[in-house]
Parts: sequence; C-alpha cells; structure tokens
Amino acid sequence: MNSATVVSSEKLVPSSPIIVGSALIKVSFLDRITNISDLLLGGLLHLLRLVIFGSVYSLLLRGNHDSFISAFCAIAFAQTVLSIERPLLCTRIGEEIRDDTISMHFLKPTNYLFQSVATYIGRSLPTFLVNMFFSIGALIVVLGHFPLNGTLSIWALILLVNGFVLNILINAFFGILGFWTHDTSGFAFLNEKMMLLFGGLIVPLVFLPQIVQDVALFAPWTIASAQPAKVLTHYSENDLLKVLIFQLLWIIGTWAISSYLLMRGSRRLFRAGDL
Amino acid sequence: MSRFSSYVQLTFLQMWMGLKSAWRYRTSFYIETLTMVINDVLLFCVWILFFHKFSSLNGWTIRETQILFAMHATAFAFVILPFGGILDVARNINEGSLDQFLTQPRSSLWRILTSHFRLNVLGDLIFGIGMMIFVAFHYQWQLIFFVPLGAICEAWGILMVATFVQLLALFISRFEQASVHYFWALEAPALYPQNAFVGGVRVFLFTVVPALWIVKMPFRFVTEHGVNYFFIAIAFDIFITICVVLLLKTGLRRYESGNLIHVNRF
Repeated sequence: MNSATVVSSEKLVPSSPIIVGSALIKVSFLDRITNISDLLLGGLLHLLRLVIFGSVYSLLLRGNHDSFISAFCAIAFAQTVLSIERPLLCTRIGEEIRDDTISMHFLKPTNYLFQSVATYIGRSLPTFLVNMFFSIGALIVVLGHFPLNGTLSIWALILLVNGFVLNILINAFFGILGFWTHDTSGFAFLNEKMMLLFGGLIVPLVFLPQIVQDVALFAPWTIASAQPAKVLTHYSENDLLKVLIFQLLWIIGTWAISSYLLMRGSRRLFRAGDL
Repeated sequence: MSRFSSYVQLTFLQMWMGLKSAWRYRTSFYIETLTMVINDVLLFCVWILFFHKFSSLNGWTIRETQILFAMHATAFAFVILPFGGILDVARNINEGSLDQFLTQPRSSLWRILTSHFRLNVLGDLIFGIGMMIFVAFHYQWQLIFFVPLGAICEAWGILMVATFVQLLALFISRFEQASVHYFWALEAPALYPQNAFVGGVRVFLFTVVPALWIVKMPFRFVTEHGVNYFFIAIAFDIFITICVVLLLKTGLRRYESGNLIHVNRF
C-alpha cells in the first residue's frame, strides 16, 4: 500500500480548540445560509417588531426626542441580541439527552458542550447578522441618522457579540438540566420570558420601576442585553467597563457551571446497548 | 350539515385522545401546562410594568390589554389545541409526506391540521379563561359572552391565513421555515396595543400580514359591542377560507409524492 494514502487518525483531529471551534462554526454557518428566503423573512419579522416598537415609543415619548432615541436604540439592541436559531439550543440538548443520542456525541473526540455551542453559534450567526443589518437600517430610517459614533459602534459590536454568546450559553445551561428533568421546553419558555422581562425586549431597563432595576441589576438576562443597551444610550466609561467585566464573568461562569453539570449528568446516562 | 357535524365530532374526539395520551405522563402534563400559564403571566407582567410607567398609549390602557390578552390567548388555544398540525403543513408538503393524508377518507387538509396535539397550549386556554373571568368581573359582565365570540372569530382568521401561507409550499420549494416565520409575524401584533399601529405599519398589517383584520375587528366587537365589526371579521374569514380551498385545489395538482407508502403484496 502506498504510504501516502495511509492517514493517521491522530492527524485527522486538529489539536487546537480554536481550529475545531472555527471549523464547526464555519460548517454550520455555510449550511444555514443555503436557505436565504427563510433568513430574509426572519429579518423582515425582526424589522416589523422594531417598526411596531418605533411607533409605540414615538407615540409615548412625543416631544421628547432624546428619550425616544434612547428607547428605540435600547429595544433594537436587545432584539438583536436575542437573534438565535430555532429550535433553541436548550430544547435541542434536552431532546438529545431524552432520546439518548447524546451518548453518540460522547464518542467524538471533542467536548460535547463545546461542540454543541460552536455548532449553534454557527447556525445562529446568519440570523444574528441579518437582524443586525435590519436593526441598523431601522435606526437610520426611523431616526434619520445612525446614533452611535465610531468608537461607540465598536463597543456596541463587542457588547452585542458578548450578549449573543452569553444568551446561547444560558440556553445550553438550561438544556443540560435535561439530565434531571423529562422535558426542557418549560425551561426554554421560562428563559425566553426572563429575557423579555429583564432583557429589555419590550420595556428598556431605564423605564422599569427602580425595584425591578435593582433586583435585575446583575442577572444574566440583564447583563446580556438590557445593561449594554443602557450603557450605549447613557454612555459612561465606568459603566461600560463594569458591563464588559460582568458579561465576561457570566460567560465564564455559565460555561463552568454547564461543564460541571454535564460531567455530573453524564454519570446518570444509561446506554441500552443498541448502538 | 351532518357532514360538518361529523367533522366537529371527530375534531373533538382527536383532541380528547391527545389529552388522554398526554395525561398518561402526569408530571410532564402538569409541568408543560403550568409553564405555559407562567409564560403568559410573565408576558402580561411586562405590560403591567409598561403601563406602570406610561398610563396610556393613544387612549389604550391596561384595561384594553387585559381584554386583548383574554381574547387572544383563548383564540390561540382554539386554533392550536384542535389544529396542532398547522405549523407542519409546509414541512409535510416539502418532504412529500402528504400521501398518508391523501389516502384517508376524510378531507386531507383537515387530517393534516389535526395530526398533531400540542399540550402546552392548554396553558394558554387556562390563562385566557382566567383572564376572561377577571375582565368580566372587573369591567363588564357581558364580556363573558363577547370574549369567546371574538376569540372564535379571531381563531378562524388565524387558522385560515396561516393555512393559506403554509399551502404556498405547494408552489414554492423550501418554504417551511418561511411559513413558520409568517405565522409568528401574524400572531405578534396581537400582543401589542392596537392603537400603536399607524401610517405605513397599519397599511402593512391590513395587507401583507393581515393581522389587523384578524385581531382588531373582533377586538372592537368585544370592547364596543359593535355588530358591524363582527360581520366585517366574519366576511374576511369567509373570503380567506374560499382562498384556501381554491389554493388547495390548484396546489394539490402540483404535489409530488415522496413515495413513502409501501403496499404489501402478500
């Protein structure tokens, strides 16, 4: 046999998690963008929501242009952060645990959580980008100009990406709870509504009662979308730094807890032997 | 008429069987139903917080939101509980798996629509009925009759428009996700104050996504007791039903089987 045709199995497994992660993201991204009409319709639905909120807040804050700009920017930001693919990762992981297909993933050389999150980021990225494009368009059309300057736009992008990743990790965390519950769709609904309540999807954080603002100050849903939106519309360097640190802490924390739960949960797995 | 009543009976029977089957797993039954009730309550809490900050939006207050939620949650349950397969029509067409429904003696569209039972919508029904009783006690006792009538009217509209869009998969390939997006676009305006839709948005919601025909007309019938609004909503429902029937007749001729039925020779 020609030695050139023999490929060592070790060579097939890239060693760096960055290479594996980016490969997974790229493959699922390319798979997702094959259906353009669906992406565009999803984007138009996002635009419709923004336009509805635009008219709601323009009616409410008539005569107070600055408040209207802040409210509309905050809503656009929060709605973009939530741009993730359906079925949600929480539901998907829950189903894989329930029907036992998760055990097949354990045979693969990559970490299950890493693989699921990277694949899901790749699948959600086109939706995220399309919705971001429509959000920017809506801001320019409704306000007549883009409200953020150059530096603030870069910070907005960093905060957006962090919020997007944190939102996915929260979903993964709830999905892994499927080792202890029969169905995770309840957690998915609960997570969505917590995002709605504390994430500023309908009412920006500054308009919520003070007590709710205090309770939700460091909650992951608030840190993912509402707090960054507040920082961008009421800018201060101190607050920006605080939100960035909390976003990173939540990302690391959620990852660590999810990994621990996965390790504990996988011990409960019972394979029937019908591979 | 007897044909119609047999369909109604069968629909209820299928719903009952779905409920009985879900009842076998009690814990799951309670959790799924309860989480949907909590889900609706949390959504309503957002609007309570909203109207805590802004007392009125163009004359729209928390009272209108309560009535709208009572009507819409009930209508949503009226659609999805018996016709849980509504979001799967386009997928069935795309996968060529309509054959199993086409070979059955009853209407194929009715069979597709009733082919799936979604338990969590029971939570919407409980929330809707609870809210209906609340608004009837708090504002006007007549609402206990008007809200269910408005809900039936809205439910029929949602069902027919959503079915119409799902059936477009007979003409457009890979349309399943797009039709699901459309369904949520149709449902979304029902959760917002109806007075907020002005100008271009209003035109859009009367034409491309006809949510205002479906939601606003029955809502005005419920709140203002104007019979004309009820008849407008009914007329729209009849019109869209005719469109669905025509689309189905034309579209089925273009349907390509997925060859999923195997005949046993022996």
